[in-house]
Amino acid sequence: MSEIETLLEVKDLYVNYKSYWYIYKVLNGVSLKISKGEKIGILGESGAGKTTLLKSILGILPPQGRIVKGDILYKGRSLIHDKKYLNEVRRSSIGMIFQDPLASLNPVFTVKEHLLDVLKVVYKDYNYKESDLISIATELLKEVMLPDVERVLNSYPFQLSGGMRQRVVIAMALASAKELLLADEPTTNLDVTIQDQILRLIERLVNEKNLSLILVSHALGLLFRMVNTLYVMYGGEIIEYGDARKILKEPLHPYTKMLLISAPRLTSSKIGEGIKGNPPDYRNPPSGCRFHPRCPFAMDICKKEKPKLIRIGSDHYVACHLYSTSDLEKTGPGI
Amino acid sequence: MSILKVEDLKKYFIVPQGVVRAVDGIDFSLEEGETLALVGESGSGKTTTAHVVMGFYTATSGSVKYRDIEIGYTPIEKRPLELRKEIQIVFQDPATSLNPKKNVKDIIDTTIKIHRKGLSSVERLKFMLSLLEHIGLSEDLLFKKPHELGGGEKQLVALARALAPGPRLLILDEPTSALDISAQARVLNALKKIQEERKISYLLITHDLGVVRNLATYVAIMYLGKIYEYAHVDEFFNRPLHPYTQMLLSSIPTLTEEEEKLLPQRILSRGEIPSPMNPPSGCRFHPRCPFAMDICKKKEPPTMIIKSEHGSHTVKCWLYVNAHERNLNKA
Repeated sequence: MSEIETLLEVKDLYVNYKSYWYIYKVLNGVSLKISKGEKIGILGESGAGKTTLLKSILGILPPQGRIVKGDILYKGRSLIHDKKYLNEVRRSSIGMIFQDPLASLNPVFTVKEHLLDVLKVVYKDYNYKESDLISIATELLKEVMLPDVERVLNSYPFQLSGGMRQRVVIAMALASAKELLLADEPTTNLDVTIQDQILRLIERLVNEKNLSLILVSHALGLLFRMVNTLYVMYGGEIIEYGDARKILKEPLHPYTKMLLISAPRLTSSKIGEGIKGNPPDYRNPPSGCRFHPRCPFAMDICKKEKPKLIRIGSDHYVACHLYSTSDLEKTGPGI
Repeated sequence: MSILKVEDLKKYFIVPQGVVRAVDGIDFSLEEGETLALVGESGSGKTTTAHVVMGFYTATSGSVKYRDIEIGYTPIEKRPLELRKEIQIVFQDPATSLNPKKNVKDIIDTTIKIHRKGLSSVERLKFMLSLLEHIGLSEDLLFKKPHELGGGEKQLVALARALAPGPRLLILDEPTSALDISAQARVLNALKKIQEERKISYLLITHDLGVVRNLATYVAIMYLGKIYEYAHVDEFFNRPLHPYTQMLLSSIPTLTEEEEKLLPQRILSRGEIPSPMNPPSGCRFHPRCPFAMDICKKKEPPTMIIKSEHGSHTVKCWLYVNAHERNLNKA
C-alpha cells in the first residue's frame, strides 16, 4: 500500500503510565493502519487500552502517560515528533467523539461557548468574526439533527437530554474532523433507541463526508454494524484483526472465541460461561502472551514468548501460539 | 399465590416545578421461582417501581402485596426483619454499592450478623465460604477490598451479600449494565444457577433485551410510568405487538442473521422519551409512534388481552383494539 493511501499508521506503539509507586505498562506494541474512507473498529473490554490508543493518536495522554517506543504517522509524517504538525492535524483533520458527554462537556459553559471554543481554533487563520463562527456552529448543530438549534445553543449541558448532549459532542468533533473521526464508545450510557439514532447519525455523516472512522467499543453488535475491519484488543495488545464479518463467523484467538459466545443473543437463552479471571495487572503484566493466565489452551511457550501476529487465510491475522506451532493452523482449537 | 402482586401502583414525586408521575398505574404479578423483567428506557419508572417494592419509597396509591401482605406503604426502616430478609436487592454499579474500605468478608459478614443472629464467628465464616463457592467465587477473595476485584467479581460479591439473608425475592437493578461481556456472562450464569437451585423469584430491571432473553420468564415493557406490553419471554420475542416494543427490538444491533430475522420489520427509532412531569395526552408513546392515529392523542388505550400458547399476552395500543373490534364484527 502506498503512503498516500494510508491515512494513519500506528507503528509498534508502547505507552506507559507512571504513578508515584508504579509503572503501568499499558500499550505493548500496538500497530494499526487506516486508509482513506476506511472504517475500522477496535473491540476490547474495559482496561484493554482502547482509549489510551486513541488518546495517544491525538496526543492528549494525561501527564502520567508517556509514549515509550513506536511512532504514529499521519499521511506519512510523525505526530509524535512534530508537535506543530500534530496541532495542525488536530485542528483541521481529526476529530474525536468522547465517551461520556456529561463528563466531556463543561457544566458551567453553554453549548455555544463550547462550540465557539473549538471553532476559534479550527478557523484561526480565517479572521472570522464571532457572528460568522456562530453561524458555523448553527450549521454544525443542524447537521447533527438537533431540533430547536437556537435554544440548544444557549443551553447548559444539564439542560439537555443524554442523546442531545451526545449530538453536541459529535458536532464539536465534526468541526475539526475533515478526514478522520475517532469515536470512543459513542453510545455507552445511552438508551438503545437513542443509541440507534446516534449510530445512524454517525453512519450518515461518515458516508456523506467520506470520513475515515475509528470506532472503539466493547459492544459487539454495534461494531459489526458499523465497521469493515475489526481489531481485537486484550491487555494492551492487538491479538486479532481482519474482516469484521469473518471474525464474527470464525474467530481464531481463544479470547475472541470466548468473548463471542459470552455475548447474550436474542435467539436463545444459552450463553457462554464468560472468561474466568481478570484483565491483566499492568504494573506487572503476565510474561509472554498477556492472555495466558486466563487461556484454557495455554502452553509452556505462551508464558515465555509473546506471540507475533501471523496471517491465517487472506486478510485475517491472529497473535496466538496455537496457530504458529502445529497443524491447528487449519482448523483452530475447538471451543 | 403470587410472591409479588402489584395493582394500580402509582408513585408521584412533588418537585418545585410540579408533579413527576414516575409510575402511573401499573399492574403485574410475579410467581415463585420466576423472573419478571421490567424493561424500558431511562425515565420510564422501572427503578422507581423496584424501589417502592424495596421500601425505599412509599407508594402514592395502589397496592404492592408480598405474599398477600401489603408492603407498599411501609418504608424499609419500619419493615420487620423477617420481611427485610425475604426481599433483597442487587444494585447497578458494584463499584459504588460496596464499601471501599471494607474487605469482602466484612461486607458479607455485616449482613449475616443482622439476619442470621446467634451464629458464632466460625459458623459465619463457614456459611460465607459455602455461599462464595455456590456463586463461583474463590475463597482467596475474602480478604480483598473491592478495588482489588474485577467488575464481574465485585458484582458477584454484591450478589453474595444479597443472598446471605436467604431472600425469596431478589430485585436486580440493571445487574450487568456496568460490566464487560465476559463478566456479564459469569454473573448471568450465576444468577441462573441460583434461581434453579433455590427457586428465588427475580424482579429484573434492565434495558438490555439480550439479558432479558437469557434470564426472564415474563417481560413487561414500561414507557413513561405505564406498562404497555406484557408477555411470556418466548411469545414476546416471537410476536412483539406494541410499536414501542418493535422500535426497541429493531434498535438492537445484531450479531447474526438468525437474530436479524427474529427482529420485527425495522421501525426506525425517532424522538426521545418525554419528561414524566408533563406526559403526552392519550397514549404516551404517540409522539414517537409511526402508526399514531387521531384517537391515540385523545384517549388512553385500553389493555387488550391476546391469547397465546404461553398464557396471556397483554398490550395497550389502539392498533389492536381496532383489530379486535373488526374481528368481533366479522363474527
